[in-house]
Amino acid sequence: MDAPPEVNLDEENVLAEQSANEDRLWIRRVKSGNIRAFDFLIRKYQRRLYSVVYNMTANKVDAADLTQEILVKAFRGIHTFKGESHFYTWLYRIALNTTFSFIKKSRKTSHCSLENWDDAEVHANILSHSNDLEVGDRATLLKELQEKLNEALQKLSLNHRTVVVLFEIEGMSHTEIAQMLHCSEGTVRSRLHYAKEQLKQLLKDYLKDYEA
Amino acid sequence: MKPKKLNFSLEELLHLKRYEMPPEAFWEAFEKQLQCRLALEVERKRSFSLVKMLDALYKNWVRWFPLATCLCVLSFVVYTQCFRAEKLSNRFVVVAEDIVCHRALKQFVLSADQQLSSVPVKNLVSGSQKIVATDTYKRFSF
Repeated sequence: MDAPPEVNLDEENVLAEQSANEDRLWIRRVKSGNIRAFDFLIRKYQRRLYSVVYNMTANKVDAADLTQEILVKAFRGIHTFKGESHFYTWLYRIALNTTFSFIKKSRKTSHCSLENWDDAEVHANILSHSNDLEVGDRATLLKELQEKLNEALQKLSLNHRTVVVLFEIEGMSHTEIAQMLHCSEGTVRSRLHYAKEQLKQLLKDYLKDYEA
Repeated sequence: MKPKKLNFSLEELLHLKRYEMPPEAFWEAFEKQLQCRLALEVERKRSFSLVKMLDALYKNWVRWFPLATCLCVLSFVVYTQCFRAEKLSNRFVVVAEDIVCHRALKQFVLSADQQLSSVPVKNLVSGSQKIVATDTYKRFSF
């Protein structure tokens, strides 16, 4: 019999609560004038923020610049954070608003595939997590598939793309996403379902178990 | 030619994107650049706190305008009332002084008259006392 999911959920909740308490402590320090305390929050969230922005914009240069802008905005406005929600919810909201504004302004559709990193380490990292392919095939095929996926993601509307990125890539819950986007959980589920159907349609030639 | 299918579901493929992260060298440069931007932000915060306050006042003038107008009107009313009261009290003082002076002078003139009438005419030089007293009386009895 499988382990009861309640245990895992409880553990997750405890960890989340610990993390939130830790954030509150550091935020209090920043508010009391200890600027260096913000470094802790930067190190904790910069990669996650970058990942969201990168998957939304599909451009590494823009993603780096936007992530920095988001963190500066957060620093500027940390005195307005009242602690009614989790810090990361507040931070992600800034991230999403900044990214939406940027995308709307630039209307960029270009994307950056994995080769653009000029680093074998990144590609190897992904490959190490996809060991169900034969070694010879998987590098080429996976690279191609990732490129197709990036293209397909960029074809989604902003709202649909956001939900897919936050739920499937960042691993957030429907409730958290609903809080961030100021909409109902039902809307989040509906958007996610529609977005995944669109992605499956766009990638039907590459994915298993999919018949249009 | 139909592309070769991979043994991936959409969810698995999306999960793989979690590992699509830049190398460590990127983060070092990123943090350095971010620290510079934050330092500039701190400097800006310090130098422009007053400007920011004025700017906030300016931006929220719609909120402050009725309050400021009420305050101006109120202070104008208070000032004019005080000024009027002061002026009136001064006038009362002047009037009171007039009355006092008037009585005193009247008394003085009367006594002077009596003195003059009792003094023999030959001793009167020019009746200057009476003239002076009358002048003063006239001056104060307007």
